Amino acid sequence: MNRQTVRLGRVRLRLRAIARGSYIFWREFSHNRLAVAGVALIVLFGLMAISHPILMKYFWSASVYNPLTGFDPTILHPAGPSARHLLGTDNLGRDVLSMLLASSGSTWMLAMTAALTTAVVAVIIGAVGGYYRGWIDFSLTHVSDAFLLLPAPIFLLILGTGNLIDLGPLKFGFIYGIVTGLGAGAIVLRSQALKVMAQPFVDATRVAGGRGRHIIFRHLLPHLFPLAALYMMLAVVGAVVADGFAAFLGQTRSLVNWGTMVYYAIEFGPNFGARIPWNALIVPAVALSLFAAAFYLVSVGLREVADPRFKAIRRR
Amino acid sequence: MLKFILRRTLSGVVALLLFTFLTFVLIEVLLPGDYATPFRLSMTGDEIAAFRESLGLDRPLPVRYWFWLRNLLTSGLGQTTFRVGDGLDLKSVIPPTVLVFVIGLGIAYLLGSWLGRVTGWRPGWRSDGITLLGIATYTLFPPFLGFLLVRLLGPRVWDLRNALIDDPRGNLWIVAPVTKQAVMWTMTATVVVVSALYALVGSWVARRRKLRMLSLPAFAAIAAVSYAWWVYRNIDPYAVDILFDASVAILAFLLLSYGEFMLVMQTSMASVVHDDFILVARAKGIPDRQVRDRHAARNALLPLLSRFAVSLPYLLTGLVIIERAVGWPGIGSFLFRAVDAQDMPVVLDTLVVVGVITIVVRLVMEVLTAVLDPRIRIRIESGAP
Repeated sequence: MNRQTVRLGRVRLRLRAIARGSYIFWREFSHNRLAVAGVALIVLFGLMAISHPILMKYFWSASVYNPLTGFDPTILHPAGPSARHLLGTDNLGRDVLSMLLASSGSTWMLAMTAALTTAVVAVIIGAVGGYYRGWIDFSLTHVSDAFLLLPAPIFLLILGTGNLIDLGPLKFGFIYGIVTGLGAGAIVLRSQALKVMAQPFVDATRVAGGRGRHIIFRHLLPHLFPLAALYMMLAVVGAVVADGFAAFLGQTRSLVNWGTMVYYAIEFGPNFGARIPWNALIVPAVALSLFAAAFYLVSVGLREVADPRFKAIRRR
Repeated sequence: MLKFILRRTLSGVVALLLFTFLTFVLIEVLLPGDYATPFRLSMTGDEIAAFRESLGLDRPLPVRYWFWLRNLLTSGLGQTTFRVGDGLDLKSVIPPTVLVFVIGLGIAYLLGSWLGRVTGWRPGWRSDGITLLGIATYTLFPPFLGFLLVRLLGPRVWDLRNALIDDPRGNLWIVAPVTKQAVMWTMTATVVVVSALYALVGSWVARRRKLRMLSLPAFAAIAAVSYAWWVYRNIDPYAVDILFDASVAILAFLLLSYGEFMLVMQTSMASVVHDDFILVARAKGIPDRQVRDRHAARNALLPLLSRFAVSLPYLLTGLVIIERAVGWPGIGSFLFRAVDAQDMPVVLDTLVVVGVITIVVRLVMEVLTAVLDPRIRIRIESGAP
């Protein structure tokens, strides 16, 4: 048997282990019906984000369906749902469905950035604080406490005032992730790291000659990942609502946003004596809530998989 | 216990100092311009430089922070160059926020822990539905919620207020012998003092007898005593009017925050339900409800109480956003006006005040819950969320 076959065999074994692991994970995860519903919702929003460019390119004419400048000259606005405009149009004559789909793309970008940044920052700070005790831990804990006091949505609103800083979805998600990751995320992950470090297998590794890097990467981090995934989801919930609110107040650079849509519906409705365009108001607000709620539902499911207490209960 | 309180206080002060440094530095570094920038059109370059030097703006950042901190501690929050809002100052916007925060948090805690107890005890489609509702209100978009509440509920609240208060001409406050702000101060002080007194007496009693401190009768008693005090001070119609004003803000805050309590309680309940002592209690023939409330819920309360302290900043942030959404004249509206005017000294001071409130409330809660249950003290000291 030559070396290449051995390597291929190893790869196959590892792949099989990953497949097996994800099957077990899914089995435990799908015990929770609500969590599965959350995954379905997330997939739906993903499809929505993908479908907008395709629809714009092949099916919708830009002059009518453009989410920013579109206008349908054949009907009065705001219009209720019809065959041409499935969710109606807003006061400015733009198609609500097109705006909804266009916004889901930028919200996705924001959500992913916020989630990844939170997880990376929280895992690093939590693991370092939990592994190296002493003054490093002391100072990190107090920095986390200070960041816990700094409200991320308000901090971002302050940064966005007067468009002094271009807050696109990526930058917004990044800053949000850093603030929450250093704050609540790091505090929770540090306490989990402390719990892991008190386990006997860490002592066993030390006795066997395991050094810092080995313990952190092979023993500490794998136990932190489920909780980090949980906090990723929670960060998405906060970031999406915060971004919507900042866009509602006009403090971000995202032009098409669910928060902006709500703002247009509320401000351009009653103030101009027109009726409130309920379709243009409810659709983006509900979409924003559903997007956030989907991630929350997944986090509930993840918590049940990640928390060893629940595993023990189910085995009884 | 004293050692615990001292240590937590010290830790809070350190966190607060770091927090002020952080906000100061972030705002100074990230936002362009400084205190002299607004005047640059009417001055020459040399005058600007002299102006900046006289204000100490040319010094390095840590020195400026030290100046700012020293002035904050010795001569208060200072003055603003702009007039923010309708003559509102920070002193007059704190009571409305604290009032809504305390009342809303009390109701949210009661509702959330009750719902969590019920849904965690017996899973099924019904508790799934309640959970979904909790998550739905938790993730509602605040401006949308505020708009709906003000539009749909506002007129009803106004009718109810007119039915309850004898005010046919709508000039209640014009003929009132007291100002609105004074009443607001009294109300807030009453609620806070009565709750604190109750907590002191209650924790003393709870050590001797097994009484439940955070329960519906307890909150009813606090409300009744507060109201009795308002009647005694002859401000009860005004207080009721303010409560009606605040009701939309309280309701919005309640809707956005009860979900978190519910979900934490539910998770913790679900992990207690399968413990052995529950089985024993059932085997003894104790009624199901009693097992749930006396045996399971009391043990499940621990994570909820220790979570309380960590999520306080988030709850306060949520309230700040809601205030903007429903137009309640509290810290939130004040802060957003200052943000709109780019009046950064005011923004900084407001953030510091919010930080101080959070730290103080958190400290009080930690100490209270630690008195109630020594296990919480251990949890807090070991850094559990």
